[in-house]
Amino acid sequence: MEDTRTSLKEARDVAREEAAEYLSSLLNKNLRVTTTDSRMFWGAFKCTDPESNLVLQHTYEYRHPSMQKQAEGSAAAAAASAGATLTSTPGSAVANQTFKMDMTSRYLGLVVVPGEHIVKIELEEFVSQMKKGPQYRSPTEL
Amino acid sequence: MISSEGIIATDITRKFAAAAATLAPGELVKDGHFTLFESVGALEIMDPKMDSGCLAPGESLDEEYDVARPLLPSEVLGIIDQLLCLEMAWHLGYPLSQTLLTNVYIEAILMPAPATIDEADFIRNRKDGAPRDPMFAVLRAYCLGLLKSCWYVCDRIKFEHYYEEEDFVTNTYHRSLLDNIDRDLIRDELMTARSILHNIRRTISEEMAQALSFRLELRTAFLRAIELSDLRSNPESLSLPWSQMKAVWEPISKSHRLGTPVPEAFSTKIQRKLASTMPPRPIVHLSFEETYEHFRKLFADGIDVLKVLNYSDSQSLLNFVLTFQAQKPQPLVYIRTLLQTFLFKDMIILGHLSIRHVIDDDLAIVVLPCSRLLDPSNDDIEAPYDPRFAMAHQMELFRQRAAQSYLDIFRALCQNRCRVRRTLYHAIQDWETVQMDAMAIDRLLQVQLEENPIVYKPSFFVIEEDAPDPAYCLPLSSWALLYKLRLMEWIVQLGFELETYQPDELAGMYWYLGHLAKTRGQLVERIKAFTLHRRANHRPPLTQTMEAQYDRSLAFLRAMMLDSVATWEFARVLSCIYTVLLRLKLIVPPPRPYSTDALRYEIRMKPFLSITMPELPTFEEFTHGTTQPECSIAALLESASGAIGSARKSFDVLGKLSEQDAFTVDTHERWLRGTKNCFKSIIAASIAISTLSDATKGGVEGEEGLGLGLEVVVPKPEKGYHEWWIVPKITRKR
Amino acid sequence: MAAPAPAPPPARLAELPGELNYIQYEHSLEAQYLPAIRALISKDLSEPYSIYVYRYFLYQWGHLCYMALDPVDSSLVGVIICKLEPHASHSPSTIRGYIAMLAVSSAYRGHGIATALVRMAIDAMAGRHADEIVLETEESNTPAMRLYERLGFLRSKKLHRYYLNGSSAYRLVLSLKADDPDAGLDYSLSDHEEAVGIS
Repeated sequence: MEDTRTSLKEARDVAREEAAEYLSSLLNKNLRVTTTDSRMFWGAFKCTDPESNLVLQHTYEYRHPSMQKQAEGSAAAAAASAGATLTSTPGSAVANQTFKMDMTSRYLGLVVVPGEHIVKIELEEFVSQMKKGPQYRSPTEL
Repeated sequence: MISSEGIIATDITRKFAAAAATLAPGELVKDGHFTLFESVGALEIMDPKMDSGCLAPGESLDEEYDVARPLLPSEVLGIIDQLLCLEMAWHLGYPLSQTLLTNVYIEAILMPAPATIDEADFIRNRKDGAPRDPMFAVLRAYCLGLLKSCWYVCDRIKFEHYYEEEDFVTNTYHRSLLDNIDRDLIRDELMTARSILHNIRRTISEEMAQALSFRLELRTAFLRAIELSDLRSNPESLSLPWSQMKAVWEPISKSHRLGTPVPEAFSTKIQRKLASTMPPRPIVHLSFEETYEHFRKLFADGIDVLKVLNYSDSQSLLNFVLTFQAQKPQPLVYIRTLLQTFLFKDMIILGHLSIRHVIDDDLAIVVLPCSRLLDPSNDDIEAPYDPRFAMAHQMELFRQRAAQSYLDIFRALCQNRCRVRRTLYHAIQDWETVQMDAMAIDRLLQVQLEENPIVYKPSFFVIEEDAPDPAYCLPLSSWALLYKLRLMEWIVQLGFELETYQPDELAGMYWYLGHLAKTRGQLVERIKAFTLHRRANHRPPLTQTMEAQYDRSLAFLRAMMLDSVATWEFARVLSCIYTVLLRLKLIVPPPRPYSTDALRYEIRMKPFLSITMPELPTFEEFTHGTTQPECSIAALLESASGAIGSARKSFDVLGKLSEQDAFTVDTHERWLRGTKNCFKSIIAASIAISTLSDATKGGVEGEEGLGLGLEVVVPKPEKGYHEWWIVPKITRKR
Repeated sequence: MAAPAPAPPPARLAELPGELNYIQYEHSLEAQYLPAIRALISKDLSEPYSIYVYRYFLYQWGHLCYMALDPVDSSLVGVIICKLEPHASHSPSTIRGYIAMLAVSSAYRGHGIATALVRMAIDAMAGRHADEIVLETEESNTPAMRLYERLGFLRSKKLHRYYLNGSSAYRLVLSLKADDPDAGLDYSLSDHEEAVGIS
């Protein structure tokens, strides 16, 4: 009994330590945090508590254009392509085209994103660093 | 945007949450360089109180207001008047995000940032050559003029001493306030809009056309006033646009009723697009009546502040700044910055005087009339053994030492009142060392001047009975000490003005003020004795010009003496009155279980603790001076009565001085108002004394006060006649 | 810290439901009381604070946080949050206590709960060698000013337009120890030295 308890506790401590280590490894990395209202916050990870209330520094807010603005954008794209039709490429299909719209962004600085409103956390890393291979694999993977 | 090349984003949602959940309650994982103190300033996302981007369910981010919808003339007027209210709120210290940047037309003009005057419009897709709708042209021209003047105001303020958020918010939230668009082009648009109004005056009614035209004229004049203020030249020509604004302001306010408010053209939703580290805040609602008053004051102050450019003498200049800034309400930050610009820009005082000119002028008035020390020809002496060589050298050292401290007095007075008091804390420490250094230079110069010490006997303020030793003049350190004393008195008096003292502290603080004013009087008397001595012993005989210089200096010393006597006596009066009220338990100190009188004395006097001359009274001296245990109530009231006669006489004589003799050239009227208010406070104090005398006739002490049937109200500073003199209202209970 | 929001006159309890329990905060109570603390304080203040404002104070100075609890259901009726640290603008540096937040549920006001909490905080900080205790309060908040001044605090300076809503504040100071006469002065120009950045 005694042994099991100790080892359980030890296992828990190890898990905890690993968790803290993992969270520490993310510090100062750029995170993209999406909230329940589908905004996204991009900033450097500075701090968290047990409820995943994240502190992000130098944060920008990104927001999808509203439905209305999307409709306008789509219409504008259609018009532009219709205009093009007249001059150069006759017969091209206007329907089902895609158009690109930037998300609107603004600077917010230091923010707290409460854990209860987070739907997604993404970690940004440089491909160049990720591809370096072996040193990024854990010993068990090798 | 963030789909940058070479960067990959991995979803770590679950892993992160699982890891965080293993932390113990209250445990944090944080970057070692990041302090929790910083985190306190963070905005919490999705909290509607903090997150300006948080939308209510079903709410759209987009503005539903259509800036292209036709506008009635009355609506344009309504929008303009609302913009006037918001512009004033901005001047008063609220950020653009809560004021002008809540207007949809302004937002549409500024976003996306216009590159040309033609793009600076809330309707961007106008067909080439198509004329603007007349009402749009008017509103647009107004907005352009408004934004351009805001840019100049902001720019000017940023250039001077001010406190962000406390005095003024210069943040423009990454919106450019038309800084790239030439002022003249905007003026042309205003002109064009006015001629449009002229052309359609029959259609929209003469009255309406006029009302709108006045508003455009206001914008043109504002731009012109700003442009001219860079010149720092003749106040009369500079004041023209200010007078113009003042003139159109009355008809503007009278035609306000013609407007129809368009509240839907103002929205805090725009805050969601502003780069901001601030939580969302409501639109500031200043009524048109308040706005009217503030603008009226702004234009009056705008004309008034220009008078500072008429330099007469250094002491009048100081009195100008002192009285101008003491106004209630204090002039707006923009006006205060204009004053700073006039005073200090490029280290040229008032646009044409060197700092040396002003300091030498001041030294000549205060301590050194007709002195060889201030003779500019000393600078030309090249022979090192000539005493004039040493004089020039030492005086230059002194000027270098004192110039900054001297200018800082003016600069300090340009701040908001709370800041003035705190800045003066620093200033007196600084003047303490200026005085020490001046003393060393005085000692060197008295040798060069071959000065003979004189036996100087104070006649009026007798300090000690001992026969005094021969003394030297020590002009430079006397000059420094005089400023230090004045600053110390201002600190105490600003304490009254800012309601820093509790009622039971007033007896002590007026006692201390009296102590400082008395010390100043003693110093002035000493300076005067040496000035008279120098005048009497002047060889060769004085020329007329020199006589005039001496007369001017003695006039100053007289005014200074009157002021210190008045201050000393009146402070003594109030100290006695409050002591009586404490004895009668008509003012009762709070219980204060965690404090002692000695500890509080220490906090209260902290700014003065390191000053060696005059040394801070010990706690025992202070307590004795304040409680006057040897005096009965009757004796206290009698001594107050005596002092009040003397204070009244001093204020009376002061008030009769000419502006030359009072050293209030170009500020005399304002200064006189202040002096008269002091006089009224004295009358109020004498009423308080007689009420107390009547009630205590036959003698009462201590606890009996409660039975006297008196009621005491210590009024708020702004409720009395003068903020520096808190006179209790004592009435009989019905 | 922040200016209190104008509140309608509360329906007060004529009598308390019994002797209140006053307890010191500790991390193990976080789940039970932190949400209530936030709710109680944010109700009283015009200026909102993120969860990390509370973390900042409680993480390091939880022992300087006291709570008044209803004896019947142990619900939170009052709280005081403080910090205590060396103050650098003094030389040699002094230990300065700071009362950051004080709130009492409106129904329970008028029974001296706020005063009791402040006294506990002062005692705790004095026990930890505080030289002085400071705080800011809105100039129009007469009840708060009276409470502190009755205990011995003095107004040391006025802070112009200190709060986001544009109102001014007073800095109140309680000196607990006689100063070394040679010590430097606190005539610091920065007001926000104590404030936690967002006021």
